[in-house]
Amino acid sequence: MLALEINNLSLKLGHRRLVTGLNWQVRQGEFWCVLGRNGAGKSTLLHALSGLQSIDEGSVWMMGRPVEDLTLPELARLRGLMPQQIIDTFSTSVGDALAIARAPWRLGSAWRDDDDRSYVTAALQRVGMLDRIDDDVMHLSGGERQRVAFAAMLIQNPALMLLDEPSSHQDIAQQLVMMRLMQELAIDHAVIASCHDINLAARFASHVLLLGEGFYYAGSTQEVLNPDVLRRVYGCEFDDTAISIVAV
Amino acid sequence: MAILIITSTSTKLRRVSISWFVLFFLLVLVFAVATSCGSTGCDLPTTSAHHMLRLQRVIAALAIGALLSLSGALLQLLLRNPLADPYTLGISGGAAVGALLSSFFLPFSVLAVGMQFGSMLGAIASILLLFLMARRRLFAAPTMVEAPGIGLILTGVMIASGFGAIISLLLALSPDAELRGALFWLMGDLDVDGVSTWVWLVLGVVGGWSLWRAPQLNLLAHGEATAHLLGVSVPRLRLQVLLLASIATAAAVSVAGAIGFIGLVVPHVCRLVLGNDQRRLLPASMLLGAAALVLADLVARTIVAPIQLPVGVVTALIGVPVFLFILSRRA
Repeated sequence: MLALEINNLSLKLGHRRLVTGLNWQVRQGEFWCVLGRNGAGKSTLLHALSGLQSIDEGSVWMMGRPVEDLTLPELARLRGLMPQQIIDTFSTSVGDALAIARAPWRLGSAWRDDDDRSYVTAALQRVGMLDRIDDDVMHLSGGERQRVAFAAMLIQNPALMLLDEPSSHQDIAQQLVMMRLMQELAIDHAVIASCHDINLAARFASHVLLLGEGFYYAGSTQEVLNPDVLRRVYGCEFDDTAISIVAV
Repeated sequence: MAILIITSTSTKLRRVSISWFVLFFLLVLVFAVATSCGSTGCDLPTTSAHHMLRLQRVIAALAIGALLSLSGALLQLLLRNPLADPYTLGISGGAAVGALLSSFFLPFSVLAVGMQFGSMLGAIASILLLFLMARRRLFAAPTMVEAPGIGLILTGVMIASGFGAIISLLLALSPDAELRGALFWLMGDLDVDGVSTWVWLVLGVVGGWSLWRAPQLNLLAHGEATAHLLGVSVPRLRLQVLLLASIATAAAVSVAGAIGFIGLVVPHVCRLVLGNDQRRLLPASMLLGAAALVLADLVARTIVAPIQLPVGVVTALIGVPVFLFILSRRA
């Protein structure tokens, strides 16, 4: 079954048209990287798929159902979004901040959360932050807060995982860890992550959606990430033996 | 590692249990002292008239303190602003204008009830004005980029400023004989008539709703976008929170005037001790708010007896250093 099916999607941000006529299908087991220049609409597309941005035109189907037919709790079990930046207003422990991600699966009393702790510890262990479970989220660095948000996505465990630049605040070692984690998750989920690093996308993603100005390329990583396509989108030269920028 | 986490969890649970015990003990102690002590000294409560009046006053203070703290906690959560309090959105200003207008136009025989009724009408008018001015933001779907709290606060601050100007105008025009009573009301006055049954009813409704919806409010505490992503209908919840917090404020203000600082400081103190889980924070805020206002009223009645201070002055005198202490700890 298709995890995501998009037909003729158009998105606007203010008066600016960002994505036009996008037709796109994503299956379980696929790890897509959404690439494109700054302002191409990568984040806007992920926000639109999460319901945080209105769709100008077109239709979106998730797990074989149009999104407008899904209730919010159903949607919360089907798709999750890890935002690019999280702003915390009040002090909260990492454990408490993560426990809320279980909400879509708590079908009984939401007052009882006995089993949440085991999900929280498992997720934190997976992102290497179990020792920070009682720390205040406001005392975390940007990269650590991003990993906690990634752990929240693991706890929410939706079929379709949307991640907005999940490695933007990470050092190179953690970027590799995050990309490997997403690769693992894509075995039994559909994973879509926006990113800027073409080399990381080439190494880890199975598919790439490359957004240009008024056009796009979607397909397997090998098909899309070739110097001619990249030159057309980014307007700079690329080495034809390896995916790396050689001039701007 | 597992042992470390289990130990830290049990430490946290122990701290939470101790905090609940302290809160209940404090409430009972404050209630007992406040009903026994007054401007004439301390004695055992009887069924005499002045003891009954004192009991009525303490019972009203319990409900009003709980309402103000609950309203403050809900508005801080909704607006995602630690400086929000029940008066941020201008509701107390509307109530004050209603009360002052009543004091001008109603005869002395019905003045107390009339001011209560007038302030309630004023509070309702200011809530309607707020909802009218901010309707687009209130019903808007959540987005990642815009925080609706800022727009709501700005609307509320403008409404409060407008009412502030009207209050100053009314005070400037009021005869000297009525000026003292009006100023006393504006600073908060718990000299209530009757048992304030309907204030307790409002507390029951708003408090009950808050406890029922605490798990959803927990999601809202992490931002509207997060709540939406986790399955909450944000516009509906936003509207409910604002409406109930406004009604709670209106009920409290119409009975006792604009008592400041309880709604701002109490949720912060509870958050500092119990964390930001609304399932604990909201009931704890109600309990501590009730105890704090009864205590402040006891001080107001007794510290310079036989003169009674406006209770709002006492809450501010205690609230300011407490809030500054919290701020310095956060820094």
